[in-house]
Amino acid sequence: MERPDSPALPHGPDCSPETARTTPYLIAFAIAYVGALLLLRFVPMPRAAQIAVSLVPVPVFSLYLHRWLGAVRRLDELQRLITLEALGIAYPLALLLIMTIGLLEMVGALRHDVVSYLRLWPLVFWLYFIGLIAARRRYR
Amino acid sequence: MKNRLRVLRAERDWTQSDLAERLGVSRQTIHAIESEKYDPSLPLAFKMSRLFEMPIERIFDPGDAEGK
Repeated sequence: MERPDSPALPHGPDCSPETARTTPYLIAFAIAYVGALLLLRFVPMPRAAQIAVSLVPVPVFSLYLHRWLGAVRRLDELQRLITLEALGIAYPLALLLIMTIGLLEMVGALRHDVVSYLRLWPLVFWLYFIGLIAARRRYR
Repeated sequence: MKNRLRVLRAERDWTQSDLAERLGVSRQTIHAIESEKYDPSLPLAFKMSRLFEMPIERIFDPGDAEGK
């Protein structure tokens, strides 16, 4: 008799052991970003220091990206395909989002302080997860 | 593409996880292949062929895809 399997698809590509190992780097980036944001918002400092603090998240994110790409290379063929499809969905959606916001800003329908880059980039980040959900459903 | 992976696996009393481990892929991939939602690459198909000790065409049936 066939032994029962656990429910289908309990894990997605980003829950695989490979990509899960990148989580500490993502947390480090989040800490660096939020820390920089709070410092810039609440601590008075000279212009040069502000620029330096603004750039602190860059190397931390670069390290996360390096680890994430390494993890993706170690995924199996279907998981890599799902990741590619997720990015394939997220990238044009991000272009569409930025283009639409740009046009709405141009005609004065959106103020720059309402839709700033600070609020825009997390949306782009989430578009990847929307793509991931859509891609995973295809192979469920 | 139609395949006999689920049957071959059941004959050996392997779970999807067992087969995934033997082939070095995720259980998700085995599930997708068995559900015929994903066709494996040629290297993975050869791995299956070696694991089940039978030719690829006895595991996979191209069906309508043949000749395309």
